[in-house]
Amino acid sequence: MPQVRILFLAFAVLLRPAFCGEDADLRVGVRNETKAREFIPEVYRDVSRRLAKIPPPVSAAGTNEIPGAVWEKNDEAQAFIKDARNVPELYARLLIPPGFPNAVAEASKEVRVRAAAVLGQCRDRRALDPLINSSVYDPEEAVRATAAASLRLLEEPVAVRKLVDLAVAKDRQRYPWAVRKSACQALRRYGDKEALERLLKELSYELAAGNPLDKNNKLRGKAAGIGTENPLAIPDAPPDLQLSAEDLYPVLSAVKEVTGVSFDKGEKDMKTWFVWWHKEGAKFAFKP
Amino acid sequence: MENHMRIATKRLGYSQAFLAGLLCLSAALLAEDTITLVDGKVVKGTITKDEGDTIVIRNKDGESRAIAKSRISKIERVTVKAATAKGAALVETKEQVAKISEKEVSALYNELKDIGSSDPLKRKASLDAAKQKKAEATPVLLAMVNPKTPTDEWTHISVFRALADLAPLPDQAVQTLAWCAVFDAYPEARREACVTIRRLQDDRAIRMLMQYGTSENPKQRQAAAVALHEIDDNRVLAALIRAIPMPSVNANLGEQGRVQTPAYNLPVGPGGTSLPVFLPQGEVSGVATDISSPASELLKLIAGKDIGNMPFSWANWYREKTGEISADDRDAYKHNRSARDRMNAP
Repeated sequence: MPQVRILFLAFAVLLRPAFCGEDADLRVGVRNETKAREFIPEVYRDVSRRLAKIPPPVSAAGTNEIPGAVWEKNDEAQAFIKDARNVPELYARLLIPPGFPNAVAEASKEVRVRAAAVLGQCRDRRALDPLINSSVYDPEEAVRATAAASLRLLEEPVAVRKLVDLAVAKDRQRYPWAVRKSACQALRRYGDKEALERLLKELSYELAAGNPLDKNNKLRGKAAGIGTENPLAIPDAPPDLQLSAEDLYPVLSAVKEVTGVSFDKGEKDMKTWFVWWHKEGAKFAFKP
Repeated sequence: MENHMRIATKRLGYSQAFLAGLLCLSAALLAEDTITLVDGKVVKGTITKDEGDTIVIRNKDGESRAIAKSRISKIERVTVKAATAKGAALVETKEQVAKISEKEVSALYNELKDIGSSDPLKRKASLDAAKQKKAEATPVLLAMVNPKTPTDEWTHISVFRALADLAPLPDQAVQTLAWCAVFDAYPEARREACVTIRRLQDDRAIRMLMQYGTSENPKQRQAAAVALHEIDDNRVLAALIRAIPMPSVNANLGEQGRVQTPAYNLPVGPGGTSLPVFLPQGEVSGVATDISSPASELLKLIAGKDIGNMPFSWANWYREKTGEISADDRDAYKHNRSARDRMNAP
């Protein structure tokens, strides 16, 4: 038996470089810094520890301040921003909250807030997806707010489109109202009117000709016997699916959440929303 | 001394030949086809296509225009051959030009390749270079979004944004843009192409998208509908609704069979006797036409709703979508339509 064990070990040693080339490189010496940082937990630990020591990216919570603007004269923070331009992947991974796949155990709330601000300040497009995810899915309010505000610094219209996609997603199982509401909040924090224009466009498609799932709509017309629109009295909608208002009208709910506006009458009319937008659109401001 | 003179004369001869070639080439480049219309107007440019009933001519700015042959009184075509009679010199010059352009293209590609860079400064420099060399940069940018070119998503997105700044675009660029709006491998790049088409309000691209949307291939139809939904051009929706035919049902009496029994017995005979009345008998067959149409099918895909194939339903949908009528107006219209209208009587 010992001979078999020795034979197995010898094979394992011989075949190791073939199966784990990247790791083998890291063992003999750092050839590629990005890869090394991606795989060595010590680097994440060290960066997390140092990140947590720099001052917070905004002077007071809940303000409309640009995250990281206060770091202008902080050399250490500037070094992080410079570093993030070279390896945004490192900071993107620090944005993942503990408990999620690929998360770093040391990525506390403070670390994630600073990592989001650093990624925004580096103004690199590679930070787009991590910041969008963080602005919607992070369990901490402060991280979500910083990530959404940092997205603005990237000046990338794709961010708005992706957030709008999340906010009006029709897949109720995959994107429950909690997730969609979070995306709406991110849009509010992002504060771009293009988002509202896209939302209104989607709303026009949702409301025009009525919603077939809504039992209050009479798509087939009033059932009043022969000579009417619906002589056989075919039901207008499927049996009551017990859907909430947010699930029945996802775009309308998103528009209401982003604008903070609702109407007592004519809410499900595009006409009402167009009239409001023509009247208020120019002076409209997002509520934080 | 004589030797030197001979060499100098020879060189002079070469340079003269080169200059002559250049002049011929410039003449060829400046030469334009001329179309004189029936009303006396003259359109100048390069005739690019002859489509049977129409002729497509492209002007200096790269804009194409289709002219019906019935409107044309005279066409004067200037071919490169006719314009440049100096054969050998031209060949030499052409080769030279080709070599130069190849070099220039490489240099241009090197200038533009960072257009999709994650670094905003590099990106801006490439975009500025593209704007500066507008006409020369367009083919290079189009090559960058070719599926055979290994470029990433951000390069595609940035190329479409750059194309929006280079408008008016030549036909090839518009065709590429429309193609990419439907077939690009990257979803976000497809969306960016749609945004560019919307920004340019380019009818040529819309026409191509409509062709994709009414094709036989269901996947292509779906992809084109997604693009048209993204573009959300009211003119497209209105045009599609106008194109929906009114469904119609005809009842035809087939070939009459032999007379079997009287249809009626009426007491109109002498002395009040009944007289049989024979009527033609045969199977009644109905033909329903225009129940569905490519336009209504495409509208269903764009709207994500099936509200039937009636043009008036879609017209109301459009009016409601644009905020012209409310949901109550729509319901009232439905309930108040006359029985004649409901039966689709003309």
